[in-house]
Amino acid sequence: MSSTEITCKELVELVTDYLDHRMPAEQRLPFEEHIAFCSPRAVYLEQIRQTITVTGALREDDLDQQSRDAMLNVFKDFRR
Amino acid sequence: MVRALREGDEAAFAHLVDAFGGSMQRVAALYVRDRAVVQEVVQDTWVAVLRGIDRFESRSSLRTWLFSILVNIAKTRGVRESRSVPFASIADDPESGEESVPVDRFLGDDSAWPGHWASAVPEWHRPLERLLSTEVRTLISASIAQLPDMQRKVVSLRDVEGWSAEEVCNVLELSETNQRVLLHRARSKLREVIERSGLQEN
Amino acid sequence: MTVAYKFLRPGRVGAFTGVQWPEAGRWLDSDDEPQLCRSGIHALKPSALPKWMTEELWRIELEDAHELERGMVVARRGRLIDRVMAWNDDLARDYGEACIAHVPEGGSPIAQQRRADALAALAGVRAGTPAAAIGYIAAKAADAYAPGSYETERQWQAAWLSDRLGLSG
Repeated sequence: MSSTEITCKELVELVTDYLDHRMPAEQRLPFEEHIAFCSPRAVYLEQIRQTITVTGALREDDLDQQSRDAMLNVFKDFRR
Repeated sequence: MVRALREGDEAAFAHLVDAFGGSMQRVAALYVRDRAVVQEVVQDTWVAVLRGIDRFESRSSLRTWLFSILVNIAKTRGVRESRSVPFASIADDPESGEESVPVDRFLGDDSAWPGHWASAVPEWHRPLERLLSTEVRTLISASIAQLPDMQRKVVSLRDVEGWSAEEVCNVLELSETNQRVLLHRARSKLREVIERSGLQEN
Repeated sequence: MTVAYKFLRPGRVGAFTGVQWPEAGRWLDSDDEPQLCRSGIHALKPSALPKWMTEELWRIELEDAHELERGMVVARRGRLIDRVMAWNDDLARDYGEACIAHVPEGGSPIAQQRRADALAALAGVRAGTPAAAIGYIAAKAADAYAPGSYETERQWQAAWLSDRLGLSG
């Protein structure tokens, strides 16, 4: 048996540690060794990555004009 | 930027509004439910920023300072508000063990492959660019709103607003480990939401 | 200068990073201090090949390489030398068959199940991850047959491959 084998069940709990670069050094190699050949793991990891990307896209929603104007008015009022 | 603001440069202020305004609304909404109150929190923050800009020391970044003001104001208003309209509060203990993926998706200890996937993880066939559609984004946005309170806050600040782990830990007063556990649960949930929606298929 | 090996996806694409490698002879530099599984150029000694298989196998030259555990090598810069064309779907199939043949038949129900799983995987074997999976499954079958033999089995697989491909190092 390899000294540290990370099962798929364990992997799903470790994905965020890995992506955050917070995985202990001794876990990284077994983690990646298994991603290298196990399609479901690789698929799961990729799906988490895509989920993060989609979530990040919410940041792109523009400030609506009305809110923007209201904020700019704060400045105008302040300066008076 | 700070100097320009101190000198009353309107263009500099507009620049700040464009840079942070949307984010400020979203972050305020993490604490406060009523749309009108969200706007008030944001406006109050701008006033506080303008009032305090002369005293601002550039030791921390302008962004960090601005958002710490926002969060303080939002928290206060949020507490006041929750006495009448509480957020659904589901127990959200980072210490409790909770699985990201249902246990039955893995083979048991008596099988030839304990802990391995029982069946293939269904692939997402829609390419990423098309996953960024309005439909999916709306779904994710709604799903985030329904997460337990701390998971909602962590995933919003980390993955929507792009704050660092350190910033989030400071603002939410969480240990790094707890922050990561909460983030992980939220992400797992959102992944599952996409998987069950059918929107990841062509 | 160190010569090592690297598996890439078709078109010289990094399996984990998705980085597009330049054509052979051109150096690729990494920005950060090389750190196992985190930054730097990663490559393999022949002993590690079975665990990282993808479609293309390349020889790579590394500058200031550090050898780490389990046959991993990291460096700050590297350049592809040439592709090991002998690594292809046909060899992947031979490899898979050899891995399975090396595991004794019989043994515990789990050993037999795993061996059968390896055989089933042989049906669609190609030079990429399917071949890598077969090596893993076969080594796990061997381990069920003789507990504790997983790594030894992996070493055997690596030696077989290295021999067939005529690799050095």
